[in-house]
Amino acid sequence: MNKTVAVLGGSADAGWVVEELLALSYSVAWVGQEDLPDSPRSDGLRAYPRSRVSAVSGCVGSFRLELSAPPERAVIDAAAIIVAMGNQRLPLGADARIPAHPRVLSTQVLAERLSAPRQISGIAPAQRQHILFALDMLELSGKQAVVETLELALRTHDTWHCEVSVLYRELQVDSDLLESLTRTMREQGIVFHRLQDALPVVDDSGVHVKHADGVLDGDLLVIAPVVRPRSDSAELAGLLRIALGADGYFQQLNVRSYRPGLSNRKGIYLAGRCHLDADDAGARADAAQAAANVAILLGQDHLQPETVIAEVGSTKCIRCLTCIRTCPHAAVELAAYGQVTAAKVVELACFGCGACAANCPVRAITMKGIDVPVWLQEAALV
Amino acid sequence: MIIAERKPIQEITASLVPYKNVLMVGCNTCVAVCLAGGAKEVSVLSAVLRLALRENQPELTIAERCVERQCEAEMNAELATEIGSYDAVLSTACGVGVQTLAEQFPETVVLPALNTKFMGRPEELGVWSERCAGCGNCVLDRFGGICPVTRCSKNLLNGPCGGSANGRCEVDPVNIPCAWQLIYDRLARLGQLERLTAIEPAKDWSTSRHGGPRRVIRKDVKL
Amino acid sequence: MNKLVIIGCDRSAGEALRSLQETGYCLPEGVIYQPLPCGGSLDVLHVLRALESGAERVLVLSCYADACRSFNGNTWAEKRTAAAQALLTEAGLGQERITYRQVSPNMSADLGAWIHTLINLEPVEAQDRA
Ligand code: SF4
Ligand code: SF4
Ligand code: SF4
Ligand code: SF4
Repeated sequence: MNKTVAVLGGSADAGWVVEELLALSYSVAWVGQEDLPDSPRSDGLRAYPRSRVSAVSGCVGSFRLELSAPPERAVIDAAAIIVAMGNQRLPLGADARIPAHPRVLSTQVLAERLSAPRQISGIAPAQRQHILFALDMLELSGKQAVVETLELALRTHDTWHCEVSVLYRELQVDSDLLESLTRTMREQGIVFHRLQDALPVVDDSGVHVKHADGVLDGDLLVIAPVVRPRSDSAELAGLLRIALGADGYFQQLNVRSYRPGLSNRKGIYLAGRCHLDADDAGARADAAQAAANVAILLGQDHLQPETVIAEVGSTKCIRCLTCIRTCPHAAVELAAYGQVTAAKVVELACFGCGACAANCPVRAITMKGIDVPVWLQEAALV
Repeated sequence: MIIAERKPIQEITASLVPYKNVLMVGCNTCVAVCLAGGAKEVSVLSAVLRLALRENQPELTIAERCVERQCEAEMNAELATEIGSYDAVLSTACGVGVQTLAEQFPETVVLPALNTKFMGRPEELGVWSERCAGCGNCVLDRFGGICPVTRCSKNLLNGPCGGSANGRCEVDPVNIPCAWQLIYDRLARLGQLERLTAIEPAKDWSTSRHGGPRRVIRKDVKL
Repeated sequence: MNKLVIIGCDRSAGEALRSLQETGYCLPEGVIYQPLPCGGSLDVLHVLRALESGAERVLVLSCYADACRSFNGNTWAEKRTAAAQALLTEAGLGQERITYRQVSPNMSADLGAWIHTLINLEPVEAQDRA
């Protein structure tokens, strides 16, 4: 059995997935639209940087991905696919609602100033200056950006010895890292305020931001980056025939998901920040989960269909495509039965839910592996 | 493809009142694809009818059949031996199928179970929408492949009316896009906007319904 | 004649019923349970056939929203039950013959209570005449 796993995405998240898979001795084909991050050298790894997936066919156990990477095209045969394309960070200027003013900075610009020698940095900071850091100002910043911004706020306080305040909307202190970070910050006199829904006002006297208990005046406003789903998520989801959530991120299974990181299709898994909001530690843990999902799938010698699956009676089928449109797992396709074309259930991909059978207008689909008594199916009087 | 939907059940049961022994005949082509009258819908409808009539017309029996294309007499031939033993046939084909059965079996009462709606396409699972009104003189070449006859609520051929707002039609802004917005956008995309400067002459409706029932004859095929 | 036909997703309803049976519960006489692999495979026809074959009432069970392994099996079950109810209403029969409930595997007590309520209701025809 082919045990190659295709990892899609050039993000750090994908890098961790690749590491985990190599550690479990799977062969990995790593495809990213950008240059790929440094990765461990390994015979099991083939990297396809600056490549785009242009077509996907096959099913669990035997996916085929076609890549367009000028000047050559490549084909990958993979037993499983892990999507780990990460999210994207927007530059500060991308949001027109944020006033363009020298007092309003991105975290990146502040970090550069912080590491530059004092005398050449733009506005010479002084002890009495007050620097405001805003998280989730107009849109969600994402967990990792929140961690980085808080670390930056602490570093600013330590380096410039100035007054520092943090503005937030919802700050979920749900990791050890965040807990110790926020505790240290409070101990150092950094104050946290809950943001009010209002844009910052910037004038010559300084920046003014509304918060829950009043207005905070400062000299600089540092705005944490905004994260969004990558703009090419929808295209990849379409090629892979997997679902995107309403928010544009790849869908997590659902709240009661018995194993996180599953997509709606067998053999396609999700990892990292293309499907969840996580800091680096969370994304690493999710990479391990994705590799574990693959190990569960490919652990046996060969793949087995589920005990209950659907089957199309090819001579009854009228090719109405209803089942193909119905199947939540993209497990039905049109296929040739000798000279005739009809719907066909891909056995390995079928979850046996029966949604196709119940929607078929000519009752051409039966469920194998379960007995529905005749009296429930046939006419009482014919 | 022909799109149809089931008539209200009360209307169907009312039409069945005089009969005791009814044959339901479905069609496994257009109306099966639009989930209105294929084998499955025949079973569903006949089951409901049997349940409904159990009290009021307990002597009524309903049998179920389905043919591949009810508008083809040859495909209905399989019904010939038994159809005479029923008082009435309830057809879940489109109007063409119903009339085919009626022509083919002149002694048998044939009743429609569906309302035949339009020629259209599935937009998504469970949604069908109209695309062609069969006007008999297709003008799609001049309108970016979007039919103003069918998709403009007012059949306008020379630009939108004043009721086009935000790309929607005033007749039902939620469900109907303005056909003229679609035409404009498509022609702009194709780089053919100058086509819209030509005046489209008044349409000759004699090729459509206004010229009486129509026939098509292929002389080379007809003997 | 069956008083009550229960048609349910075996992953939720079936689990709930089995744990109820482990406590010594037996389905009352005239009640039968028909498992389905998922709420998604519930067919309008299943419900109608159950009634046609003489069942007094039908109880359709699926998992809760967001708990379905196949994402929208519960939605399908709910929609198709609603379609069957609408058909009966249109035909002038009471839709109260068909009940839809969402159930999780740990709701065996609720399941037992629903069954008890449904089989002790007055027959539908009697209600209609009253
Ligand atoms: S729904 Fe039934 S008839 Fe339609 S394509 Fe699928 S199997 Fe064929
Ligand atoms: S049973 Fe479910 S998973 Fe299998 S083909 Fe049908 S709809 Fe798809
Ligand atoms: S009778 Fe003919 S036209 Fe009408 S639905 Fe059937 S196949 Fe289509
Ligand atoms: S112009 Fe006439 S034939 Fe062409 S699509 Fe419109 S209605 Fe149909």
